[in-house]
Amino acid sequence: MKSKKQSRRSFVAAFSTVAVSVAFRPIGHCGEAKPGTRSDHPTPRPGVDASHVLSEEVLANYPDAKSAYEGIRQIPQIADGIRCHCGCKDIPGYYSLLTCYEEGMMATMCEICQGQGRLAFRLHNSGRTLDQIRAAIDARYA
Amino acid sequence: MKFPLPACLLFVTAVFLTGPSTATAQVRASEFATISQVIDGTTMTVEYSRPRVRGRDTIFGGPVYWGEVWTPGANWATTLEIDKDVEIDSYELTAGKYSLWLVVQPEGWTVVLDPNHRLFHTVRPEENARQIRYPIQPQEGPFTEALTFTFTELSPRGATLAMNWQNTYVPLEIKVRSSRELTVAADVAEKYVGSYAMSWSDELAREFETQKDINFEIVYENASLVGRMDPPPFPDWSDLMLLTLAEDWFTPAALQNGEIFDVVSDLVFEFGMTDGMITGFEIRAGGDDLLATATKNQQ
Repeated sequence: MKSKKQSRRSFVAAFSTVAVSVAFRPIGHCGEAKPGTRSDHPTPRPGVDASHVLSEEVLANYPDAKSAYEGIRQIPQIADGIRCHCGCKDIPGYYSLLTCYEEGMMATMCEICQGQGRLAFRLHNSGRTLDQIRAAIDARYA
Repeated sequence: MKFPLPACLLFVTAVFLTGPSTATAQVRASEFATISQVIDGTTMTVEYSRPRVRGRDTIFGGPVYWGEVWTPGANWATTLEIDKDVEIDSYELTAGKYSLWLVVQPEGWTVVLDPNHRLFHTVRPEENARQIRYPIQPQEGPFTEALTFTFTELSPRGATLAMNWQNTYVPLEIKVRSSRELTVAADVAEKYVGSYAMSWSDELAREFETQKDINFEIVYENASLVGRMDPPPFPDWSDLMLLTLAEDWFTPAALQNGEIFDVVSDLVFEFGMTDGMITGFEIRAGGDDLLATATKNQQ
């Protein structure tokens, strides 16, 4: 096997930095999370929207995070019903995964916030309900 | 400076009440130490004071006398704390903190773990039903000046907690419980078994100069799902056990000699299905980046 970087660690570490060129093609079929990983998720606030999500101009400095923000902007009601698993919930003003993508929050730098956002968007696009998305996020990140 | 008598009495009383302390800022014949080891989410901690040989010809047989219930340490009894249930030398040990004692005899020793962990070394515990007691055979080891506990022989299933002092070596085998369900029911596993044509993403293959298109074979072995990459991106990943994360989602764990040595929790294998048949899978990273896709070869 020819490989420039034979280190398993460098391979795994690089996952988060590799920009993927394969077309977006959700085939996930996540059902219920395994027992013991469920967590309390917030109830989406009536009328909540993506107006406080960071703007494209601000995100110019965070190109790796851009796709996650684009997804969240399209599903604010879903994101507002998901609890973030990265520790954001301890920040004053936090309410939901949607909050993570607003000013002063962590999603510009946090791979977990971004991963949850991308996963939520992908599963929503493939027809999953909010409860199914919550279960998938708990299974993956809790 | 003179202190009033009540203040002096209070001070003297306080000194006696607090007793020996491990945190006192002074040189001690047996300095306090702590050692901790995490294996598969189970934390094991030993706290002890470390007596030294200090030129003595013998330790066991005197000054640690035969038949003595001795804590392997000094001052307060040595403690072993575990935050999850484990097996120690095949005996079940419930999560908690225990004082550790050894009954030393010329022909063989006895390990005693007592749930009463706060005991001074002279306050030896009486035999009772809450204790774990079992025989053990000390071995000869390299000379060790200060009594030393180490966690050696680490494996995914546990470790050896070893005590060395002078030329005596006492190993205690600790087995932890797996944090993951390793087995998959045969009727559930059946649909995943087969060969897959897998492709790393262009960028990943380019970055690591690894072969883009590979074979991925999933077999059902010893009640587990095992995937074999050919060729793997590096040797450690030739065999991967697939651990259930959720329905049709799995976390890979690298295998060595059939044993898990690294759960790669950053990754998830997501299987897709059409008409009840598995069609393939995707490998995704923590940021939900797509790393690879695979299509199941129809038989």
